[in-house]
Amino acid sequence: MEDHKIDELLSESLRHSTDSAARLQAQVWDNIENALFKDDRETYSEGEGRIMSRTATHRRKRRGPGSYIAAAAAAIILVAACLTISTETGQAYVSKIRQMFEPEKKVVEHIEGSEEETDLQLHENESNAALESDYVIYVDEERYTATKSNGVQRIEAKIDGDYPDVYMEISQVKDRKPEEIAQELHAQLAAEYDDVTDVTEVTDPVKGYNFRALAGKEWDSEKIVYYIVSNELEGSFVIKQAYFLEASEGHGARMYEMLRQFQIVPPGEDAK
Amino acid sequence: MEPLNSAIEKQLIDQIQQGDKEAFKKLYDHYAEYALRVATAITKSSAFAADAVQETFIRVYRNIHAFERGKPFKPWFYRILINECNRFLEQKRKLIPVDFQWDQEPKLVQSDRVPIEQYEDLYEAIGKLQDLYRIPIILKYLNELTEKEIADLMDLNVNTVKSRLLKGRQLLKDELQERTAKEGTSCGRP
Repeated sequence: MEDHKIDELLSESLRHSTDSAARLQAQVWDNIENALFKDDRETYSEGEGRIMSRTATHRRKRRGPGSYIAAAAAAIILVAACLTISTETGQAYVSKIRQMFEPEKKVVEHIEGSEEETDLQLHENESNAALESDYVIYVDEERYTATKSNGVQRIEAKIDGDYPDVYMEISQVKDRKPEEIAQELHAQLAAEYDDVTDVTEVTDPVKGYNFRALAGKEWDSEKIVYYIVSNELEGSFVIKQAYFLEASEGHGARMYEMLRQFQIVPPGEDAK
Repeated sequence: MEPLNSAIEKQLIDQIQQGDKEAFKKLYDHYAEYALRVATAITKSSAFAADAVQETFIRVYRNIHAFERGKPFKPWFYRILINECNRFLEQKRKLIPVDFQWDQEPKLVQSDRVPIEQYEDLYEAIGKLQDLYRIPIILKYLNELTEKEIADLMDLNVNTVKSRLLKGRQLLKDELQERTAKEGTSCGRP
């Protein structure tokens, strides 16, 4: 092979093979902007391949153990993240998804040794991404707010006072398998935390891969839990839960129960 | 990537040193795409690449006061990027099984598939090179850094860089020819 030919082939090969990363430019800037210009929070978001968020851990005021048990019944919203919803077709699809799921239901949550029956209520959310699976999840609207930004669904606890963040994030990676993502995220957590469990396959609350990291043994030590689930196409859902040690039996249990309601709706499923 | 006029680049750096976020964004817009490409080729993962580039720009912003005026920015920037990539590679070597798969670029639908297959074969072959050949190859052919710039940022003699590029390129040619020969043999079987 002639030298100029290999030179040309090298340049073209490297460019072609790194096109997907080049498309992450806007997303990386968002993360940099968050890290440098907004508080001391570093946020990493998901798109083509990524992934996790991290928040600085601070010593917080202690909260009474009973305060994590709420008395009121919760309204539960259904979040349907759909990919073609901004179009007329998308709107019709949302309607079909809504028909597929109960507008209201009750679940029994086991919170700190007690059973709580919670009312569930249907709600929907929109997404503009394409060629991915849709999903639904029931959210305890009384205790959590559900928002969506840059393809990431964030379900965040409504907490008064100075406590570590409590949230669950759901994002979709359309072209990478759960095994691969689990290995990669596990490596990242292991680089950051001393106490990280092995990647294991689970069937509850979802069928997929699970591992968690713990930042310490203080009441407010950060706890990160990941579930990586197939999107039933060629990609994966990345589900991240973040809370703190003392909230494990409260918010941890509630988020676990919410995740049990997670259901994937692959494209075309609505037509069945 | 069009070269940034050196006077404009210096002005941007001055502005960043004064805390000008807009100037930092302009610098980011200019360098980010190729930084992401280079980091992906080095770390073999777009996710790690995004992290490495993110950390690189954060370090640039936080340490821009230490950047010496009058020196070229590009080698300084890529030195930080390569260090960040190496950090991620080190983590990956410790924590990820040896058979960790590269990110797979979606297959292109194209009537003439031969060039695409060649790109993929070659990219895979680049990934198998030792770092001492691989990183100069990536910097030269992806990012069009000069041999002098590569030498500066890797703390090497220019002749060493030339020699490594030559050797790396020869290894790649050999690998491609070997693959072609194997394919020819397998096609010729009954």
